Amino acid sequence: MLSKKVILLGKYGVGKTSLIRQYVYQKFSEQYLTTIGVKIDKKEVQVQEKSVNLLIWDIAGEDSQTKVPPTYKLGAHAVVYVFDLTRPATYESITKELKQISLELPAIPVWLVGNKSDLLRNNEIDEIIAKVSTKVHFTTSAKTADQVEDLFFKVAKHFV
Amino acid sequence: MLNDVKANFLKASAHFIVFDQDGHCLESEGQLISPNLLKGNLFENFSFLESNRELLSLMMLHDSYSFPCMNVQLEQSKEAYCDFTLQKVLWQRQEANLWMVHDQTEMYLRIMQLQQDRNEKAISGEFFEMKQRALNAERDLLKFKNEELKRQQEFKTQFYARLSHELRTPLHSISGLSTLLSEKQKAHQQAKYLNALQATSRHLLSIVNNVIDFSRIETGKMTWQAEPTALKDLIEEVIASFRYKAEEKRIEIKVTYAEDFPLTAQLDATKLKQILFNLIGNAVKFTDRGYVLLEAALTDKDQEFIELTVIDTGPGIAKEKEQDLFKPYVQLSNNGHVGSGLGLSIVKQLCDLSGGNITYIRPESGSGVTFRVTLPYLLPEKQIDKPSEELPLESHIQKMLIADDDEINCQVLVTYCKKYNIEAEAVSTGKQAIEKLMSNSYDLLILDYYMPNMDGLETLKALKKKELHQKKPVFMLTGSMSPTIKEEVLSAGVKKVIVKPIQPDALIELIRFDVPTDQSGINLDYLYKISDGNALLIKELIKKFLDTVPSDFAKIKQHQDGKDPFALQKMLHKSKINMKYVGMQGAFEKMEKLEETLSSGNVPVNLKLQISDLEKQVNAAVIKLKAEFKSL
Ligand SMILES: Nc1nc2c(ncn2[C@@H]2O[C@H](COP(=O)(O)OP(=O)(O)OP(=O)(O)O)[C@@H](O)[C@H]2O)c(=O)[nH]1
Ligand SMILES: [Mg+2]
Repeated sequence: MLSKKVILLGKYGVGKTSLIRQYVYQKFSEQYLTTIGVKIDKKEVQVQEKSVNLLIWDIAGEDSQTKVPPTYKLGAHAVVYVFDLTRPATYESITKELKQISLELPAIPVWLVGNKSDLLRNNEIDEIIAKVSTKVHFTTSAKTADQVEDLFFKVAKHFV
Repeated sequence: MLNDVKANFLKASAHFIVFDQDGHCLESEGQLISPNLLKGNLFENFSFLESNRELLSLMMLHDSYSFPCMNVQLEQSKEAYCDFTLQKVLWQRQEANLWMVHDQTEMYLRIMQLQQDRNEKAISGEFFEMKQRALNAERDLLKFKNEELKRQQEFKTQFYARLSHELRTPLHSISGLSTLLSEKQKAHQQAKYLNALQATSRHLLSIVNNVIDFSRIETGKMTWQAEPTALKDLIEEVIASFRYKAEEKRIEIKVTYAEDFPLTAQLDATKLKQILFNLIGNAVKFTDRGYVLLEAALTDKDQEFIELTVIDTGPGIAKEKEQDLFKPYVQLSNNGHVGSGLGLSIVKQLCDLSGGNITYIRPESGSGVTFRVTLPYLLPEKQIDKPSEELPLESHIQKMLIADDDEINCQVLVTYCKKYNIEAEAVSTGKQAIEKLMSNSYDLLILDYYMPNMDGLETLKALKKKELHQKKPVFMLTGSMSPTIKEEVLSAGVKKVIVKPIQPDALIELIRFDVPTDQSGINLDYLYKISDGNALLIKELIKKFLDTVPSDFAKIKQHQDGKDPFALQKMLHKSKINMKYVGMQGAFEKMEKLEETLSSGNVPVNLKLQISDLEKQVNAAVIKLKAEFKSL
């Protein structure tokens, strides 16, 4: 079976752990428990009669990519970069962060995700997306599960 | 012995596993990972190893990678934080993988607490910073508003100083010129002084108007009032008034019209004039070489707006001043040209008022200024006839009365009207006006609003009571134009309110356009007189007219070929009395004359034309009388 390492990156508190918890366990908690180091979760996805094993690495958020141990990213097949739609600090330096990632992981697909969409109105989300200098692939809510399944399915589909 | 202690100590917190390429455990030293999990395929049992399978296949002997702080479940429901190391080793002379697991849970849990604390603080710091940013933005805005207010305040102070200067200059020259005029002078000298006097007073008037307009716009008292306007004439008039100045400065002033530009349209003529006067005035003022061009067109797309572009070849506007262009109290140039600093601001506000706009177009190269104004317009329901340039005035206003205590104003108007063959009389009080009207009939009455003892409105009311000057137009002159007064005056039946000082030309224009020509020529005064104001009787007579005259005329038309002059004469004779009742004196006389001719057996060559003329009048009268009938 196809096994793929997917890493979640992004600043602290943007909802990486929550997205994975929602996706793998259909659970959500308002409480913020920061992640330290890495926790790996596994989920099997069916894409067009093929199974893909997603090995999802939930990596502790830092304020800069340079602080993440390089071995966490080693051999990753896809990156999901998460930011918090409600916190400008999590997307203001996105270009720089994504550049750093592409240096370490050349030619690896990076999915850009704005999370916590449940906290904003549609037009506000549009405004923020317009401000982000790179294409935002998904606007998710780990709370309502909006677009969460779509996100990981798209990641898996890319491997097939 | 010590080796054993060391080994035991390590066993408690570390585990070493050697496994092959396929994930089979070859050797294990430690107690952290349960032997069960080590029995099967390690890649299947440990996501960490599965994730790194590719990496392991690529590693060379002695290569080593460490993975700090891996969150794993080593036993059921017991979470642990371990440092992992993967290394390529030789095991029994074969290449194998070594996985070192070092449990550091205690330390990492402490680190976790610290990190949690740091992150939470950092996040709330972000929100604080966002708030701060919002506050800063708010403060900047306030600061800007303050500065803007201060600037306006300062300018107002300066402005009033300058304004008094501006007002005093023409006033001085007016007083000087009038002194000169009062002395004995040669005729040509006198004419020259008079010209200068007129020009100066017009200038003074325009300054005062600007100031008043601005304050009215500022207080929201101005509205856009669309009315049928001879558009091209208006433009030509404005251009013409700058011709002299342009010639003097040796610059050209021209205007071009797009093919589809309407001759007439419904819009607010006064305000359009003001807009053009300001823009073209500025253009002429600032241009010392080259030309001033006005392009008149319609907007490309939907043609819902007229588009007037004023282009000059003057020095242009400095880039840093562009943003302040339409702000009040901004002086655009420092090169000796003075103005109130209100002109463009007024233009902008007038454009906004209309639902259109004004834009400044920066020149692509070189200097010069281009302003484009778009204004909404409607095509008039009825095209206005172009006023003929020749005298005499073809109007049904032949005789008019002016009541104004300003004798000079009266004199000017009377003289001017004479030029147009209008017989005008002037009185100076409301009482005198009433007296005049008791014994005379006038086609138009012009009343001044402010007159001693009895003002214009009171005079009008008294006239109504006395049933004088009924159904005939009244214009009212006024110095101020408070909307409430205007409303009161208009609802009292005044046809037009004219702001003083009135330009004689404008008055003639008004007489031409604003007193609708009543083709029917009916005059119900007669009807009212003979019926003694008895509404029932009036109604009866009108009904008779409506019942009989149209059918009479249908018959009259049957005889318009003149083959049976006597039948026609009979018909005319029968019908003409109806004309008399409703005051259609003209029609009555025409019919009488025609009857006379016919009775002598003669048929006039233009019989058909005469009848169709009469018919036109009758048709117009029918419409008016029907309305009158309803209102009784
Ligand atoms: N309303 C809302 N809250 C969310 C959402 N996702 C996460 N949160 C909340 O955001 C906080 C942080 O979520 P985590 O999932 O722990 O964030 P993280 O990116 O894993 O943070 P680190 O592990 O510190 O990097 C928690 O309080 C969550 O409840 C979301 O979609 N909507
Ligand atoms: Mg987390």
